[in-house]
Amino acid sequence: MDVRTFDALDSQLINLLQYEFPLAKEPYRELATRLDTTEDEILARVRRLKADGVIREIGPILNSKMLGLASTLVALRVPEHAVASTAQIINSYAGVTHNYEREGEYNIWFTLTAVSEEGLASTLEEIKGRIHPSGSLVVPVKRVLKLKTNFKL
Amino acid sequence: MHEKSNYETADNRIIRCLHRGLAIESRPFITPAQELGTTEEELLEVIRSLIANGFIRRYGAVVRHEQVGYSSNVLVAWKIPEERIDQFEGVIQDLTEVSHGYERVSYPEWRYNVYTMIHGHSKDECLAMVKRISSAIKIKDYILLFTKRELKKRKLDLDGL
Repeated sequence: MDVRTFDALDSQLINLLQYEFPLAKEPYRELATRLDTTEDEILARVRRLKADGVIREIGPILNSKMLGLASTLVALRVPEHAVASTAQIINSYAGVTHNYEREGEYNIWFTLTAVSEEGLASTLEEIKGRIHPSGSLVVPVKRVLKLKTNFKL
Repeated sequence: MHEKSNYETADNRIIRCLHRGLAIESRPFITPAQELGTTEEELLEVIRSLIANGFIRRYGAVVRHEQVGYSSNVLVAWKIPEERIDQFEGVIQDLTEVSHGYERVSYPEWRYNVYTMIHGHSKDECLAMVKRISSAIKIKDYILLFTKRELKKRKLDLDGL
């Protein structure tokens, strides 16, 4: 993949948008003042970064556990030829945010979130009932050791 | 009937509204404030208190790491003795290449109990970082779970749960 390069203003802007997004009525005007430019320039750059897919979104990063949501990582072992159809089933669930085909003994790894532990368990049973994996692991988090979803440029 | 979880009993209208993200416009908080029947000032105050109380980890941009130079990543599962997890936590804390570290449930047939997501500018760089962590903690019992294919990656659909 081509590694993207950013000019100095883009880099500073991306860092501020991640680490110090102003919680103010006019956040981009505040960023413009800090970066010694105009609000229009900042808005144009943020729109471009979003259109280019560098910025996925501007909003809250939620603590799902604090909110009372239940979630887990799940690994399944399915035959190579069944990966696509398995993915289709798993991906159809709203609570699935990440799903990867991986190298190794268990080849499908996905994360599942539900509104309660009971909901999580029943959805898991339903998924397994539809897929019939030859092996499965349910590995919920016991403790968060590190969670850093921002990248300094 | 099961006992309702905290999420099911709470009023999540504000969280669900905020979770949709901001439009990129001069006064982005007007629309969500109107939707919630409040003012920008009050909404901003609510966001600050949600951050202070830990419901929101941070407020701001989510970037696609593969777009900012980290084109390669690997999930690594480690077998770390219980009493050394704190030490492992210390090792990964200051490494910017490690975005996520979790202690997870393990099983007799799958004794890996700690998982890290490691990012690099290349596969070699990821592997070098894994080796660095491994020698720092003096544990070689790990498995590399490289991605063969991304099948789904999206933000949680709170309205669909």
